[in-house]
Amino acid sequence: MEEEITIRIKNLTKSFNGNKVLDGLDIDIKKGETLGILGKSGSGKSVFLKHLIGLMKPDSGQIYIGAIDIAPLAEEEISVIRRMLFGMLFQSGALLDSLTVAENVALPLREGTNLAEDKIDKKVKEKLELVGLKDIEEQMPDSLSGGMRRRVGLARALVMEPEIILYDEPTSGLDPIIANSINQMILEVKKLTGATSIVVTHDLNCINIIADRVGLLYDGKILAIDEKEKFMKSENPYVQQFIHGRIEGPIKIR
Amino acid sequence: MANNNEDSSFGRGIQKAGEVIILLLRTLYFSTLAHRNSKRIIQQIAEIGVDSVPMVSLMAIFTGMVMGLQAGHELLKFQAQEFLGVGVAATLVRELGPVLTGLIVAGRAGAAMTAEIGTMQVSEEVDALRSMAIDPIQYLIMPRFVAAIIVMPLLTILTDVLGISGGFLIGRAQLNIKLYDYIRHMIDFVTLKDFANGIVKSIVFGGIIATMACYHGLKTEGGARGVGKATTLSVVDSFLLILVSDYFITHILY
Repeated sequence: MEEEITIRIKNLTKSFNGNKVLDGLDIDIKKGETLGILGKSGSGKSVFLKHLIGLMKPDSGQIYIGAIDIAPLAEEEISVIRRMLFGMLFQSGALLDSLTVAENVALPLREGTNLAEDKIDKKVKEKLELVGLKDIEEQMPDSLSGGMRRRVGLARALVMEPEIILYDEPTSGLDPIIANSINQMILEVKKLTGATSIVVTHDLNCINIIADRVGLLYDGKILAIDEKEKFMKSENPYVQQFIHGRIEGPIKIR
Repeated sequence: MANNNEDSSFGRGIQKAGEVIILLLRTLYFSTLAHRNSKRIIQQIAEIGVDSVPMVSLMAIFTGMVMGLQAGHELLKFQAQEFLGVGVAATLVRELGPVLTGLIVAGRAGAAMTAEIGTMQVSEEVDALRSMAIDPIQYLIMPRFVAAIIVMPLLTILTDVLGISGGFLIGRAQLNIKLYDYIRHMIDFVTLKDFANGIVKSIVFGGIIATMACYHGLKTEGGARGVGKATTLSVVDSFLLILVSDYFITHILY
């Protein structure tokens, strides 16, 4: 059975100041799957994710979203694709400090649609409830905990009903209990929306709970990618070193 | 080797100039949508304008008073003290009003603008806006730009009025000049054209301050230190551009 590919990346390269962060990366992402990308800190996971949504431009390579290669597109054109397809949860939520929680979640609707205010309010409440938050609409982001900020960030990412959701280190810096609640929330969102989800993280527990397939990003390439169970049992020395956290092995510690 | 370095720093200068001009043009383009963003513009007017009033007032009164002191005693030698009003008003309205107000607004509001946008840049809030298909230039930069070019002429008028009043206070207290004499010659010699030219300068300075502040804010990288560096650069660039453009505007207008 041929599975539908939502995102296909071919030979993606990106350097910063002569330092190759992505070096010929290839990957296919299937429609409706949750793909976890593991990699050590500073391995270019966020850079990879930002290329998917056009926040960064590659030096070379193609990024097909459906049938469209977004790599050569202008910001305005990519913007249309983002509005139609994408939602992204940033590492620490990336909420705008000057707006309340409700205004943050409503932002994409207010700026990108002509929806009436009462409909916007209803949608904001609905999405906040979906991520397990109630009665915090009028609070300011700086009064929220790390876990709550991320929930609000996810509510904001969901408000445009995206088909593809990107998660940048959704659990980093959270205690195990809160981290797990975020993992459960990602599962819940997946069940309700059926969206294709891409999660970059170094948190194995997170991957174990949420991912269908797992890839390992190292040295600017995807070194191994497989169904989660097979990936965890893989004999690839890079994978084994990473999932067991060994100091000795092919992955260099810098 | 040295030649190479010069080339690259020259190249960087050209690149920076190009980037600033593109930012300015895009901001001007979005300024045609200002009416749809009136709430954010009013908020910025309050932040840039109203909050600058105490400092601008203090600066204006003391500048007027020191001019009263310096010029008054010189004029007294020629028994021409009733011309004090002309001296103070002409200097303020043509030059010192717009320039000093510009320097204060650049140091206060411009620095704050860079720090705010720079912090948003390093905490991924600017990327988050783009991920939601919201153009940061329309959402963040344009309201600040429009607010700055509205506020600067108003603050400059305040500087002119308070500076002239400060000059009179000293003239009255130390040289016994009557209000009628102080104003009579001023009206004869300081023309509407002088006033209008000063206002034109203040509008240009407002544009310079907002453009440089936002440019350096968006270019910020590397955490808290980066924000500090960007803020310094923003103030330095605004100061230099205000002083240099003041010469050229004066040259063109007179």
